[in-house]
Amino acid sequence: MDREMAERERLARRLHDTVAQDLCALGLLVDAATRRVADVDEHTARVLADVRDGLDRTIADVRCAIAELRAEQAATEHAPAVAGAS
Amino acid sequence: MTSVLLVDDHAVLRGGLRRVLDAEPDLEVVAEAGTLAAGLRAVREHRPDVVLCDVTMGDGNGLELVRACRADDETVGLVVLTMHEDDDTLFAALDAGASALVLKGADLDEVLGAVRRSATSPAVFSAAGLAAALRRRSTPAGPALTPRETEVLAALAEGMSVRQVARRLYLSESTVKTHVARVYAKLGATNRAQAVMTAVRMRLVDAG
Repeated sequence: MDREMAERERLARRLHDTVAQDLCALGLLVDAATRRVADVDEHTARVLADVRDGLDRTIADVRCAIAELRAEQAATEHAPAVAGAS
Repeated sequence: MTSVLLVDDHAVLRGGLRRVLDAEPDLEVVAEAGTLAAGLRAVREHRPDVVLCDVTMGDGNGLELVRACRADDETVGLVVLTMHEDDDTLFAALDAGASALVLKGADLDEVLGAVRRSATSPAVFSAAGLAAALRRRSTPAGPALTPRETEVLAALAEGMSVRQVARRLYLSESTVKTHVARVYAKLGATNRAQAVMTAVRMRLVDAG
């Protein structure tokens, strides 16, 4: 059990320290590119806006995954699971 | 010209920030540091107008750098850039003397706005989630929901199904159910009606 929790924490940290922050950096670069082309190339600006949207969703998913990896530890320690939530 | 020092142990993010800040006509990155120790040295050497600093660093907590900078200079702009969305980090940044807190993942305009504001008004603290965090703190009896859990709860209060919530927030249904379960547990509720009533009573969501 301890080993599983340690592994979950390792995964959470890895996602947090590398994947999520890489995605955030890419988001800023996409924003910068979007600004650069906004006035001269509407099509490219639209494509880049779609890329930004996709990145935002992916960042939210990764944050969620990190929270779940950590929260399930907390939940098993402190509270009984709630069944049939719908 | 506003001079900026970047302190972050994540090289990709640092590189991205440098590129976008240097592209602005009024901003210039004068140095980068990947550790707190290097950050402190760079502050002394370059005396930047603004320090953009991460919280979780390999060799310590970035807020200690913020605190040291503020103790040393009341006019330097101190922008905390973090992955942490929790209220504790926000209030800790405020307490350390930061001028702004920006979440990594914020869009470019927000980052640039925080850098410029911190240069002109270093003593005015700004953060996107400040008002909500203060409201949560003023009702200390209420449970601490994460921003995501609050979103899920608000959607439930509107009467949305799990599937609809999943679609709105771009999450899988099982992820939404996990959030729902955690919200129920925190509110001490066993069903949606109880959860929503408790949330309205604690002012976690609007009654309307």
